[in-house]
Amino acid sequence: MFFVLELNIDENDILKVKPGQQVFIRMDSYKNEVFEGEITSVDPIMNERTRTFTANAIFKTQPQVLFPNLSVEANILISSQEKALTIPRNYLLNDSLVTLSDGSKRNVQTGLMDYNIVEITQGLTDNDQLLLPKQ
Amino acid sequence: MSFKLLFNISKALLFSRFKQTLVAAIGVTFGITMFITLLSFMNGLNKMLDGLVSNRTPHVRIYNNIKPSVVQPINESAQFKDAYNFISSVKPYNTRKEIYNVNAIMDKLKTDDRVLGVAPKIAAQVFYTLGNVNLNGVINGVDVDAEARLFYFNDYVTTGNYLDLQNTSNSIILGKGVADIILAQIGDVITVTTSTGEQFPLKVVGYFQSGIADYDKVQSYASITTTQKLLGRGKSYISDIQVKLKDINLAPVVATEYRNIFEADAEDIQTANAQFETGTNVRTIISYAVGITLLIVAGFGIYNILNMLIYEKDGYHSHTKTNRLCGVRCKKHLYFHCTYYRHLWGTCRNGFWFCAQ
Repeated sequence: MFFVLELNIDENDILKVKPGQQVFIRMDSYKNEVFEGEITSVDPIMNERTRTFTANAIFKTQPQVLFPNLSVEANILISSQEKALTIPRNYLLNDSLVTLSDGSKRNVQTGLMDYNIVEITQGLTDNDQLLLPKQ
Repeated sequence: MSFKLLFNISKALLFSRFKQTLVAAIGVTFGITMFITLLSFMNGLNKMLDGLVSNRTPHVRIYNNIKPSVVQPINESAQFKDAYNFISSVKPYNTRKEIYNVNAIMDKLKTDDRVLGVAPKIAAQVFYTLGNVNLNGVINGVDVDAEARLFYFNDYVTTGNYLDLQNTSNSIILGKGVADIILAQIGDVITVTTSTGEQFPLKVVGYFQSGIADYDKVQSYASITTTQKLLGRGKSYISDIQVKLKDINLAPVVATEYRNIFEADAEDIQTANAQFETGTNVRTIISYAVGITLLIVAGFGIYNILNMLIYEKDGYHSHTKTNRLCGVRCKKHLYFHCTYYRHLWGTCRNGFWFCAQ
C-alpha cells in the first residue's frame, strides 16, 4: 500500500516550502527511527481555522507497516550552506550591524539565522574581532 | 557632672516611688509592644497582598498583543516612502494568538543564565455549560510541574491534588467561585463549550482559590494538552510564555531584549503591576508615621507626668540648708535622668524589634 504524508505548514513558512525538498520524518509508531522523504506538492487552499497549508510528501523508503492517520513529525530542508561563517546572535545589532574591536560599526549581510547564531554572507572574515554591543 | 552622684540620685528616686515608676514603665512597654504588633501586622498584610499578585505573575510574559502595525504598508512602499501619508481607519493586524516558533523560543530561554524557569500557558475562552445556562469563563492550560515550581500553583489549589491535572486526562481544576455557582463536586464531570461551539466533558479534580472573588468566578486550570484538544489545535499552540528570572530587577531590560529577538510582545512585571509597588510604599509610610506619632505623644505624656513627680519630690529638699543651690542642680539632674531612662527603655524595645525584623 502506498502512503502519502500530509504535513501542516504554517502561513509564516509556506513560501519557503517547494516540491522536491528533502523531508526528515519521525513517527510515534517508529519512535527511534528517522525516515527520509520528499515533498511532492503543496496544496494552495489554506485551512482557515488553523491558518495552515497542507504539503504532501512521500517516503523515500516506506516503512514495512503503516496505517492511515498515524502521527508524524517532520523537518523540511529549506536550504543548506557548507563552510558558513557564523557569529553569535547577540553580537548582531538590528539584524544588520556588528561592532568591531576598534569600536566602529559595520554593515553586514546575513544569511541563515536562529536565536543563537547568525550566518554572515558578506562583510566579515575569519580574522575579524567583534565586540558585544552595549544594551 | 559626676555620673556616680547622678546615678545614685536617680536610682534612689526611681525606687523610692517604685509603684509610679512601675506604672510609667508598664505604660511605655505597652505602647511599644502595640507599636511592634501593629507594624508587624501591616508588614505581613502587605506581603500577603503583594504575594497574591507577585507569586502568580511572571517576571516577563511573552505573548502576541492585538495591535496595529507600527509602520503601515504605504510608509514602506517604494513610491510613497518619503511622503507624508494621511492614513485613516487603521485596524489592528494580528491574526494569530499563538506564539510563532514557540519551541525554539522556549529552548533559547532555558539556555539564558538570567532565567530561573519557563512555564508555557494557553488562555482559552470557554463557557461553563449548565443545561441551557452558559457562564463566561477562561480555562488556563498550564504545565503543572513548572507552574507549581515557579508560580506556587499548588499553594492555591485548596481542595484536591494539583498533580491529578496531569495524571488524569481531560481534567480541570475549577475556580472556587465557579464551583460554587454550578455546584460541582470533586469527581463530577462538567461540560464546557468552546468559542467555536464544540462541547467538551471535563472531570473536576480540584478547586482553585486565589482569594480574589472576581478571579475565582472565571478562571479555571487544565493541562496544556487538554486545552490544545479543547481548541482543536496542535502541540505547538502556546499563547503565553511565562518567564521567572533570578533577579526581578532585570525584568524590564530582559523584556526589551526578548521583544526584539522573538518578534513578539514582552511585558515585564513592573509595568504590569506598577500600582502594587506604590500601594506597598504608601501603606508602609502610613503605618510608620502613625506608630511613631503615637509613641511620641505617649512619650510627651509620660514626660509630663514624671515632671510633676519631680516638682513633688523637690518639695522634700526645701527644708534643708543647701536647698537653693541643690534645688536647681538637682532638678536639672532629675529631668536629665527621668528622660534619659525613658529614652533608654524605649530604645531597647526598638532595638529588640529591629532584631526581630
